[in-house]
Amino acid sequence: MVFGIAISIEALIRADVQTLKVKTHNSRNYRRLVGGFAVLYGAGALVTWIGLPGAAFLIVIVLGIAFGERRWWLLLSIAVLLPLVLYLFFSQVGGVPIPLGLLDD
Amino acid sequence: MFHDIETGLMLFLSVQNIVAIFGGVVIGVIIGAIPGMGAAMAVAIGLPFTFYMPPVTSILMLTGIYKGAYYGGSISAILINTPGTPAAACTMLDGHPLSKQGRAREALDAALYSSCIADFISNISLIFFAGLIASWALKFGPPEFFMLVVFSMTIIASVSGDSLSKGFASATAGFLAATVGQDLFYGTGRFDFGSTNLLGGLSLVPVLIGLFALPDIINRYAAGEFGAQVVRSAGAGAALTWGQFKKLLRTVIRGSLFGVGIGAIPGIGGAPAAFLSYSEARRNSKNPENFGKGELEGVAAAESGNNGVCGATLIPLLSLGVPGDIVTAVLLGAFMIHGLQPGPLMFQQNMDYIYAIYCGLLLSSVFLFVSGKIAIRYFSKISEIPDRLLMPIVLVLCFFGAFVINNSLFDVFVMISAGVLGLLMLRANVPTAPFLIAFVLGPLFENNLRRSLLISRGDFDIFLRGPICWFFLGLSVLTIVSMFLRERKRRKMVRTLMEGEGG
Repeated sequence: MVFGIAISIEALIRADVQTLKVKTHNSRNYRRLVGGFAVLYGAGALVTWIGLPGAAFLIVIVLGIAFGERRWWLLLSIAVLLPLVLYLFFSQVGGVPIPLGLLDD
Repeated sequence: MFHDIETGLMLFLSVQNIVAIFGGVVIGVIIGAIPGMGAAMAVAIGLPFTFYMPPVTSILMLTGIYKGAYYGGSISAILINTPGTPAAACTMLDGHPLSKQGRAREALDAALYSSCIADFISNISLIFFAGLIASWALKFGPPEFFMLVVFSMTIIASVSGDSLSKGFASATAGFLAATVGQDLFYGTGRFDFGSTNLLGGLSLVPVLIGLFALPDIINRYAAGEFGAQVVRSAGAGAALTWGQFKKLLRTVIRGSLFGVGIGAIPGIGGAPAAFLSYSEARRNSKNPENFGKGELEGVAAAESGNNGVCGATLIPLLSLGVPGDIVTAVLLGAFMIHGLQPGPLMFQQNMDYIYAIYCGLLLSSVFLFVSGKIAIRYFSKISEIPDRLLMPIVLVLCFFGAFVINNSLFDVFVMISAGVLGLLMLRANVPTAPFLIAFVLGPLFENNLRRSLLISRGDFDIFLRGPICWFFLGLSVLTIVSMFLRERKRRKMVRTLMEGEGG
């Protein structure tokens, strides 16, 4: 462990700082990174409220739009069908209790 | 004996058995290709459906699922950079770069052919060497296991990329992550920060998905690389030719033997076998620098090591009643449900069942080939889905995959957090593969180290107690020395080049 920490420090010292700066300096790029993970954490946090299929629905819609998909009918179809198929597969075939959130009531 | 073979054949030759094996393999391939769903889960899901089947049919269907899932993991690893099973993580290292180069079909073919050959060799090994290998593996105590894991750890050097230091730093982080949870011996919490979820440790699959799938998706989104650019051309490109595959055969056979050897030792599993086979292929390759950038030999090595394990894990299960991994533990449960107790007694009392299972296993290699071909054709449709649709779909699969492993929302957050870590590593050019290897091997390393020291009451001489220990120690020392010599040579070359440019 001590050896690992020592070489981690060495690796940090030798890290290609220039490359790091070039890649992360773009503020739009940085915002997108933070935004992308914020959506994921947000979806994760929403699971208890809207259930896993509901969170999956949101992920498809929000990220689909963010990625540039404009065919809303296609996006909506995937957002409904994919979580539904996965829900049915895991709950009916696998017997896994998938949380449904508000739909449980 | 001939009477047993005859009875076994009669027991095996029925339409329902053949349909069960084929169905099992197809289901396994499909489930294995879904990110986050491992072979263990596939077999566990299949188990309730086999309750009402005859014992041989049930066992054959489950082993079909097991084998199919092991191969299926490589499909998503190659096409969408997400390993369907932990063992397929190694396939991803070269499979996905090949896919990006428009050579997905070659990668998928190489994975399929290697898997089928490895599976067949593994089955043959099971039939011929069951007693022999199992008795050898039985001689392994904790010190021997420890030395074996130490040798397996040396592969970290091979997957560290350009910087050995960064590779070791990544491995250290992996080791640390593997220590989270309950202490194996005293039951006390480690790095759990009072959380009951962390007390259970970090599950492999969420960490895997987070580390390998999420950074790629988010990074591509951040860079604005979506829509127009076709990153994958899955299924497109030329199929693998016999000439190309002939060059891989040596690697495939070597990888299969690694798989057989490791699979026969209880508790190690497919992922270490794949990485060991990959490391050896790289060591012996004429183009080691191409590994990790899209080398067919890398895919063949990983898949042969990975699938070579399948038949061999049944060796200790059938001959000794010892499950070699989680999947065989589920299979052991299936045997017991049907009133069968694998072990030496089964070889005496139910030899016809053993022969029937052997026949089914051999046939499963052929069915693996057929269902793999169907899967390649079917999954090549992924290439037609643009990133703007595929990425949200993959993310949803990741979410479900992470959740269903333990029915835990905590695992979803582990996956996302591992994704953040993976992205930071990607941006800092720190390789993620050493992290994964250390994370997989960490518990084995710690468990056997501590068990050995408990046996010897703290005396380290126990690790030199026999020829098996010395054998693995010798191999480890040789690997480390050659690694440092290679690194020194590389640095010298870089220095000479820089001086040349400067002068």
